[in-house]
Amino acid sequence: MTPRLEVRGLSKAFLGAQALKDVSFSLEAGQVLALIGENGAGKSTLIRILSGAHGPDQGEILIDGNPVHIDGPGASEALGIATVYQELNLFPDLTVAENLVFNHFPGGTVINWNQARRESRAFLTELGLTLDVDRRVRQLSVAEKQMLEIAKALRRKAQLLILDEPTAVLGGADVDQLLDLVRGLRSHGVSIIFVSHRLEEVFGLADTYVVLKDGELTGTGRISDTDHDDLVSKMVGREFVRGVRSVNRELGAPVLEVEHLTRIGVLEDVSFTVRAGEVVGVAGLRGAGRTELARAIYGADPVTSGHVRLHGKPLDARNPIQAIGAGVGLVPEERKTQGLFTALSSVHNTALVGMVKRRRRWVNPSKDLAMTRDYIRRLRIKAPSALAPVAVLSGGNQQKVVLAKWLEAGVDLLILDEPTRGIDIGAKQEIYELIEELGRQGKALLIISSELPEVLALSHRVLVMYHGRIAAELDGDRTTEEEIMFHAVGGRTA
Amino acid sequence: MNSPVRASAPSVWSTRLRANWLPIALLVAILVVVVLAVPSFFQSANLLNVGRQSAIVGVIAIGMTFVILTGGIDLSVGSILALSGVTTAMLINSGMTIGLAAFLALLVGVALGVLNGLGVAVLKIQPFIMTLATMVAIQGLSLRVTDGGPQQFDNSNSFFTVMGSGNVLGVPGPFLIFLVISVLGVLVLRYLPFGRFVYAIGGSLEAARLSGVRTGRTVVLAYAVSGLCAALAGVMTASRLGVGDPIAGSLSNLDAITAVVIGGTSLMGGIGGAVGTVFGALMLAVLSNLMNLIGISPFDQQIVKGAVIVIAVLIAAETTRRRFRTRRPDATRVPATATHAPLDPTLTSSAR
Repeated sequence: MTPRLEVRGLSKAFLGAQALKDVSFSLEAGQVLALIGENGAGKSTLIRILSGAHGPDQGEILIDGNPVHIDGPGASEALGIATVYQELNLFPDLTVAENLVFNHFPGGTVINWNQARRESRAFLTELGLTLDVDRRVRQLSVAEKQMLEIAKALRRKAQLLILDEPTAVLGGADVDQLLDLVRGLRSHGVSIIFVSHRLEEVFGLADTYVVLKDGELTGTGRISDTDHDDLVSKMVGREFVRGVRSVNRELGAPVLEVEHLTRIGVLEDVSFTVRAGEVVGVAGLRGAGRTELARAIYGADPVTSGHVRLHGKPLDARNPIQAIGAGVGLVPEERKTQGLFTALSSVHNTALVGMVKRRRRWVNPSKDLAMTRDYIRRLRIKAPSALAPVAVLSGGNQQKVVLAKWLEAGVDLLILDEPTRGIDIGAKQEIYELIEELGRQGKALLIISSELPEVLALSHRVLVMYHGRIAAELDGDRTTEEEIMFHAVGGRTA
Repeated sequence: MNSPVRASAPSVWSTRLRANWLPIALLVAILVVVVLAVPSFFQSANLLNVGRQSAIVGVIAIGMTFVILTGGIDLSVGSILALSGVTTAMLINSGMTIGLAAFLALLVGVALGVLNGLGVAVLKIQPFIMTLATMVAIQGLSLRVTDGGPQQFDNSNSFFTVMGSGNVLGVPGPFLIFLVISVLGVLVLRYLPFGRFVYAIGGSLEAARLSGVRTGRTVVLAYAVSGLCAALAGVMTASRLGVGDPIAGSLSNLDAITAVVIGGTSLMGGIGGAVGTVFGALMLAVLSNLMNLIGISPFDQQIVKGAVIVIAVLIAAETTRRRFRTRRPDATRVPATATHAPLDPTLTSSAR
């Protein structure tokens, strides 16, 4: 039997970085293929090539045995491929029916809305979904939106459905409902590529699997021929040279103490401490509550219960101002919208927090300029000028400006959320050295990262989060990527 | 590529000149055309007239600059102008001294600005809607307290007259006020943390919040500045006309926004400044004056003005785009090893 999809020798490079290297696999009609790998392993690139967002550098794609060129989203759709991304493409203020028929309106020139609603209702019922076609999408739960997105894809007669981490943001019962929907589609002959980090789902659903690591295929086969440990080692099994952490640093008194921090539905009974000079890594999958933990400590989001202490004194910041005043800094995940003012200069960006913290009455532009030029020199920030908008800097240099901002303000505890995401390797190394340097100065550091090598290279201890809880606290010297990943995907210790 | 900073870092002034070159260039271009075509423009009487004409819109526009820099808009300035003038006139007529009456009128402007700010910052009403509502309501308030008629008042106080129509050392009083307000506006935006916060909020409200900026307070204050400037323009208008007119300045909100935008401030917030606004206001006044001198009909003048706005904004957009497309000394093209040298050890000096 000819496979529905066959991929042969697919390669793709971005700016010299090899995102996919010679990847080949196939998918039969009416089967579910689990696509797994760490963040940055090449899953997204593969999906984007199949959905027409990127062209491959090399390799062939065959649909039902015929070689095809997917040179745009339209071409992908015409081939019967539909992709449901994590960021949903729905119109929040339109109704379910309006979203479902969008761009394929019934009734010719003038849209026949009665027919649209009737057809929508019938179509959803056929899929076994109970969604009110007149509800606005904004009012739907995340799970319902996800199902609507899938329904939308299927209405376009998709024969190959790609689901990009559809369960990452869903809770237990919603996940089950979504998995049931996927099983129903499979029995109707739809082929599905299912991206998930949660291995228990993979074992409960998929027929075959493909594991990518650093753009290369490290394993493929029938799911019944593998097990949990085998998949984890294929995901992370790489040589890694230990990083810059000085092993025998003497740690000081506790700086941050988090006690039973809870935010309903987001964080559950989180407790840990970070000592002076200590680097604590927070690992876990997207949606596990890592960013939410950082924001709760920082006072950016409210908490339901629990306490945060800094130097033994209650902090419990209700807004960032209190946290900053107490000596906490946050390098946020979204650098361009939360960490920086991209339209403003390095000077303006670097001086702002210190200005707030010291309650300065006046701005001294020439002093700020000198101070910023000093940081530009010391942190080796590559900028055309201290007065140029930071939008013109590269990601790594922008991140250094964010760090300069906190160095200038002075912090005892610095929380870094994905500090090196989207940053080139050279700047990455420099940021690691800076983190290490801050540790030597006796700062407490909490580092959230999806990159396990980064977590291992920097951390004295590693907290692994799963579903808003701390699933494991591991020794940074002894733990391994496999062990972290085991806890991050919800593995249970025997 | 060894030196992270260019050997000759540009001075603050050259950078500022580059940021504001557009309105300055346009003004110069218009002036050059004028020298050739309409020599009478440069008679001192006419120049002073231009200064006078630019003043009232200019004062409002400086306040408007603060609001627009936060990413907001203030449509209510024309109504505040009218109410302020009416307040001044009626308080004078009730026997109050001119100084006190004008002061209270300014307080009314501040209060209404605070109201706008609270609506935007606390109730989270979109600035356009909030100030549209206050624009309508304040206009109604002026008409109600005056029964719709202009309020005459005794305008014989020489000091007060200067604010609207008199001269000081040969320079029109209103133009002097405009200059003083402009300088204050520039200084506040540049030398007070409040000014920095205004830019920060326009750049990204969330980033400002995470940086510890008291965003609500800053927004309220920005609208208060706008209300104060509008009220000051109202007092100036009353002084000039000798009446408090409840329908004065009804289109001055649009003129002020035009001046700000021609001056290169982005309606999205975070980019621009008061210097540009000064030139924007001057340019609008020069343009009207010129067209009057040449004898272009008022109807045609509006058409020309519309065209000038579009051209000015297109050029402003291009300037901004260029400023954000500076060459990137990007590390991605440098071999990774080149950046692996240790960071400057002086980083530690502060801690030891």
